[in-house]
Amino acid sequence: MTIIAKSLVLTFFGLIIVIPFYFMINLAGQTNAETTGNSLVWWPKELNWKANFTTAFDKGYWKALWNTIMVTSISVVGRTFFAATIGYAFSWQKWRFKTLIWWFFLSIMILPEIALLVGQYQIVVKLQWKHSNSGVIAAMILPFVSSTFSAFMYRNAFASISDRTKEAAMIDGVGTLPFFFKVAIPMVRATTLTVIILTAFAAWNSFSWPIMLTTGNTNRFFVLSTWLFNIGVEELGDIPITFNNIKMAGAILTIIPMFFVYFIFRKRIMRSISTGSAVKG
Amino acid sequence: MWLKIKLALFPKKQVLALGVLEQKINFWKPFLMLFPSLAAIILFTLIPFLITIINSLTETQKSFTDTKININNYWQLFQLTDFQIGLRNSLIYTILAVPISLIIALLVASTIVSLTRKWVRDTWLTIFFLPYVTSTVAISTAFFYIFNTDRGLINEISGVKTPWLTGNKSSWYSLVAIVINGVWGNLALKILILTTAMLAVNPDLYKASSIDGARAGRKFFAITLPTINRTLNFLITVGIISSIKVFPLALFNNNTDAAVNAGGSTLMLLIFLFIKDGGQTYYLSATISIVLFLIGIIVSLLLNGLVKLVTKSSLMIGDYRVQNKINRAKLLN
Repeated sequence: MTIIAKSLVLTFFGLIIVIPFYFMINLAGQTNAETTGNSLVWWPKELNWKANFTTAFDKGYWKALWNTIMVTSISVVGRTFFAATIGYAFSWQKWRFKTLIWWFFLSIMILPEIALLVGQYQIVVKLQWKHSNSGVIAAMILPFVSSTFSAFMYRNAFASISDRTKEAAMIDGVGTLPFFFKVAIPMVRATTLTVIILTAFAAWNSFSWPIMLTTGNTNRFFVLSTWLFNIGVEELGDIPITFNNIKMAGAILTIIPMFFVYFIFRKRIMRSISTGSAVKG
Repeated sequence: MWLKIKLALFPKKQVLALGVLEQKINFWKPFLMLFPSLAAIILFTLIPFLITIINSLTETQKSFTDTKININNYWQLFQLTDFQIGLRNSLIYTILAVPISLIIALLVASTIVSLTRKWVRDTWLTIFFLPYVTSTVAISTAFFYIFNTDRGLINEISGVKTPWLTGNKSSWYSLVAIVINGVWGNLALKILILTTAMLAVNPDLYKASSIDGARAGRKFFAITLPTINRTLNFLITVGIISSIKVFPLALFNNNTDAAVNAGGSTLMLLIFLFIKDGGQTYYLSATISIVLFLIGIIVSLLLNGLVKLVTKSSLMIGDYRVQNKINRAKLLN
């Protein structure tokens, strides 16, 4: 390809990627009149950022942010722990029922979580988790805590630890648990990083399950994605009106923490995600 | 299929051990490690799946205690207009969004790979990866504005006031918006994975083909595509599984009724709608879930077969051409 063709392709699709972000910034700076007006606003006459961001911010941003950080970190710790233990158990060479349990795990992989939503929701309702904060947190995390994909990544990583290492440890009299924590886990650091990053993004951005837990619920436990739901919505009379400028300010607030993380650890994140997905392929 | 995945995931390992590792381990050790995961899986995967199946097969008559096991829910579901539209949208979305995003991703990724300077490559990758770190809800709000009838960018450019997200039930406009929004969101991961896969292709193959006088397009189809075949397969399978679950609620400003009335319902949206409506329509959600599950399996099997057919036939065409060339060379001599 010539240079011109290359830059044309990249600029064109790059623009398509960037345009929605441009409109987020643009919209977040508009006044209420501009955002409900009848024509496209290329750029607001006067930047109304401060007012819009403050309005969105004051609706409990810190609380939602804190909740999201909490849910995300518990998810990450939980999933890493579960995946590592599953992976480690299957990396042992011989034990009774290994094949049986192995096929059980494999068949779990075929079930898409979507076919489970209705049932999971009913279990959450039956366990009465919808009405307390800790219940909602548990309901947000537990259904997705044992990810078979991450477990397979760990199993491969543990299996690739050389037999010499295991034997050396055995001969030195290192027990199973010390070996797991002191030798095995440090040796699969790359896999751990991939699992952490994939889980963190998935948990941070998850939307459909949290919104199901929040709608029709008296308990108002918001994570950022459900918090954004009510931002900019004002009850004027009977019909609620959405002010998209304020909603957009809220949207920017929800993605900013992850953007920071992304720009700081950009290289590591991209490497981890691409290698992690390559394992799956 | 599973055997293949198993083989791909766990290539056979050569055993060089002294034999200490060959010993049988007591059952309780691995079981203790698996116990928490097994408990979580049984409680939140196995039981929910059974509940969903039972719900979908239980017909409620008059009261909750008066129930029958049959497939009437399915008949009832298939007669619902909203379901028909939702099914249509989800299927067409999958058929369109997966190939479109894959083709764009291939184009962008191969352009990025062809850049020589590493920092330029990294910069472009960073830009194209941005959507992945953005939450769907946040970006859908931007698309809600872009598709606005009166002040949206699309209508400003086209000059026609098309009701993209506010049409009637039978309109196709919503589907177009959903596809565009979806493709935009899917590109990031695909571009990153394809770029990584393409960078790993053995450069000697390209050099050899250059000596043989192959052009860029030919190299792409004869070397790049077959080499990254497995990655493509993975992207297609994952793409289908996630596309069939398209959930464009945020695109309609989080208003379920607005989405359904604008012809923008999808299977996932209906599941959400029927759960949200309270206890009475649970069974419809469950029925849709099972339909979704079956569609997912059927479509991924079909498409996997198709991909294999295409790669196989492209290889055969290649063979045929080479054979032709040899024959012609013989004739010339």
